[in-house]
Amino acid sequence: MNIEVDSFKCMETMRTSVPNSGIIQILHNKIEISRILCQILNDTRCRWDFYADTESLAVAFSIQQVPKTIKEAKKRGVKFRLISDVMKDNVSFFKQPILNNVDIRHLEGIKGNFAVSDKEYISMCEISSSLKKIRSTRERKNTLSASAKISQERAIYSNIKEDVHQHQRIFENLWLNSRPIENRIREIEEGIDRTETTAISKSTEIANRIKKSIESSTEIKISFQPGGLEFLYNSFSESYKKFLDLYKRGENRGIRCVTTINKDNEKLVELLVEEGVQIRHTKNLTPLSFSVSNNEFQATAEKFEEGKMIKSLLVSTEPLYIEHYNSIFEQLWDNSIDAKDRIYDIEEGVDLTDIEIIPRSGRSRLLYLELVRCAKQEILFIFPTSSALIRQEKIGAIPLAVEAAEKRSVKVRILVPHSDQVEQRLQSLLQIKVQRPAHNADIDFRYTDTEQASGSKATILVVDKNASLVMELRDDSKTTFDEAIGLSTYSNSKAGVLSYVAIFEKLWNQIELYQQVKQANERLKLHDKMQQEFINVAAHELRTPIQPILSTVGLLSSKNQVTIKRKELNDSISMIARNATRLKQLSEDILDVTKIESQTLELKKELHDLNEIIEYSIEEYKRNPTIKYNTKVQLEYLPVHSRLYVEVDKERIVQVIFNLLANAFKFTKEGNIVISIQQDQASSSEALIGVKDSGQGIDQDVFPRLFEKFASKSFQGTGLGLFISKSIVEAHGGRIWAQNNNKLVDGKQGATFSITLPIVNSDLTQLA
Amino acid sequence: MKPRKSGDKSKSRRTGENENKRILIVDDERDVSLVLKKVFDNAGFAAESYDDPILALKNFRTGSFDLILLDIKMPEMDGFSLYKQLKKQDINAKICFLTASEMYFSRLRKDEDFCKLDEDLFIHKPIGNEELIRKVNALLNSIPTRVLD
Repeated sequence: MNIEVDSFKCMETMRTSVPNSGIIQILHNKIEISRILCQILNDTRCRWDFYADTESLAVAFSIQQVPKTIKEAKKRGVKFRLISDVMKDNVSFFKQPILNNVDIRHLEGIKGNFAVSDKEYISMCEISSSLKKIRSTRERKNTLSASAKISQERAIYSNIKEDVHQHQRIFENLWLNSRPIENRIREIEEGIDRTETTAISKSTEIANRIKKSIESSTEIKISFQPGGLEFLYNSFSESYKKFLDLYKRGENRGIRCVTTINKDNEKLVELLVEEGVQIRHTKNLTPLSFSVSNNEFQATAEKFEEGKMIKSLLVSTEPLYIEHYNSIFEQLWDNSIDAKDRIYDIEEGVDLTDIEIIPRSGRSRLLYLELVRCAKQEILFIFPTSSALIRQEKIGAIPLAVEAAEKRSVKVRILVPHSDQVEQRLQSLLQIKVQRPAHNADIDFRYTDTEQASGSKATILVVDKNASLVMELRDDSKTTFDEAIGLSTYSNSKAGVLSYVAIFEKLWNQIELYQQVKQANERLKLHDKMQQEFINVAAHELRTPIQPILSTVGLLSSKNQVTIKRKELNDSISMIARNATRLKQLSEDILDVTKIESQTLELKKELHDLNEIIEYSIEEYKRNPTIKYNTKVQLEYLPVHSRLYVEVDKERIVQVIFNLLANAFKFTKEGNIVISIQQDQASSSEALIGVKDSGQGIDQDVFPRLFEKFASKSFQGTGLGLFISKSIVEAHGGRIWAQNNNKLVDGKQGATFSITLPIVNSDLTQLA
Repeated sequence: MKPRKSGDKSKSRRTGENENKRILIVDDERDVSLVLKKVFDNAGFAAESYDDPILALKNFRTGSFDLILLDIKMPEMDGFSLYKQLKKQDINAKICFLTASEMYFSRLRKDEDFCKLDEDLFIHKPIGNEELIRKVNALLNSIPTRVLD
């Protein structure tokens, strides 16, 4: 106990002595209080903790000796701590030199005071009335130091150990709940004196507020609707550039911005990124554009128009809002992609973000029609079912596509499973093409497999090779589009869309291939059938001549050789010879066909006079034992007068003429057959041989297949003759054809078969 | 083509069971109809042959033949059509077929609803003389079946 109280001077002082521990004193005198206060300051060795509202502080510091005593105590190494209520109007007070090296903390709403040192405690109970007065006038400059007066003084002093300890603990507790003055001063300087939530609608105020916010923040997070970046760049470039300079020096945490990057703002984004703004891209922005800093939240629901100043701004310093929007921002940031990646995607055309999943069929319907309506070059449809096409025609998609084809020369192609209804609709579409060829409408379709087989469950639309819409079929039994369609996926991602294009093209071509295979298969089947028929015909043709041979030989062997008359024997021999020849010819024909088909028909070409060949052929024909020479038919030969030399396999050409003659005779019951040679008028290097008959003419059913294998209308013959003839003529570089004659003779039209053969030279002397 | 009348019966070396049995042969292959007539004549039958089915039909008289042999594949009128025409005139006529082609045989048989016809009524060409005679004799001795009217 170091205090010696002058009992003479402090008459009103109450003094209570506590045995073995110390005293509690109530002081009523200003001088006394001042003296005790200075005494405590003088006596303390380690600490001097002061809890005081500003009034109390003013009073304490106004005591004459106090600043000096504090200075001395500091020199001794006493640690000064102060808890006070730092406000806008008293902030300068805390900056006075006396408080240098004093650890000051701010606690809101302080009333009263106490000071506690190592061993003593004092609390001044009354507040100066003059101070109250000064405060009420809100006089700001040096208020506290200059005008504070202690009018009604009263203080409690204690050096009782328990009392002191208790107040030391109270102070510690208050210390923990207070915050550093620097923090508070910054708040005051930044103008956040207290939390507020207001809407500003004056554009100058808005601009100032935003500017101030940028300047006073340590961190800025922005979520902008498109146009926001231009707004920032146009109106606040100075402020944010300063802010970014601080960022580069590591003095703040910079600007982070989330927005939608597209082709329009791509360049600006690159510029801002270069300046140091961290930008990310997302399509899923909040409708509200907002910025949130460490101490303020600002938002606007307006759309940014060409960087113009917005007309309303919502501002809040309310920590709840700040925290809430902070977390929203962080979530957006985490779900966004880096601006560089996005710009790369835009430049590469990999527009990842333009993939949209549309759960409602109503929306996909609108998008569907819009896509078709806007098509510039090409529309591809793949329908999963025929009903899908019918439904989509009803909503107007097909008519729009037709319109696109007609008016904008858009190429429209449709893949759809076949049904009668679909065929009917598509035929009517094609009518447009046929009826109005001037429009040059390019509409085409192909049928995919049957619906059961296709297994497809979505309509795929691809427009201009840059957008696709896949509409999934939910229920095909429904009659309206909206009911039938479930989920849809829109995409303009290059890779995705081009994949659909490739799928379409594959299907499209596959159908064509399938048709070709089908046709080829049908041809094969027909060929197989013909082959089968040939075998049957051949069997018949082979068996038939055997019967006369077999029977004749049987008759001859059963008869007494002596009794057989010469004529009968001759008849028998000629019958056997005739039928044996027929068998020989047939077997040679079959062999020839085999050679032709395996391309092993060899020609022994030599120079011959064509006239001679024809004459020889006629003789051969007449000589042939199988020929039943019809006397009602006249054979006339019109040779060419000059010699025509051809380089041919004589036997083969004879075979051809023979066939043509046999054919002519077969179908001519009476009249004449004219065989002629002439130099082809069209091409003088060719000889033209004609075999004209006056028979029944060529059957229209047979005509198209006349020179094919087994094309025979007769009940006799294998249908190989003309096929072999054609092959022989063509192997000689000639042509063969047939036509029915124009004039009717005795009601019969008659036919003319013509062949050409290349002439080597019309004059043999030139060959020498 | 005129029908070839049966040869001089006195020249027939074989008589007996075939004596006077009258056979009609219709085959568009002239050589076939001709040679078969010879075979039958030689075996003691009285055979007549045609290579034109329409002429054969025109000259046909009820009850004038004990057995009729028809080729199936013929131009203008096939064997089955001729069968029907002949049956119209003579319901009791005994008719059998000669055929060299399985295809025409089976196809026409099916088309013309001749499937129910007894298989024995179809004689396949080529056939040896003795076998032909044997088959024809068997048919002559069988009870006439009236499958088709």
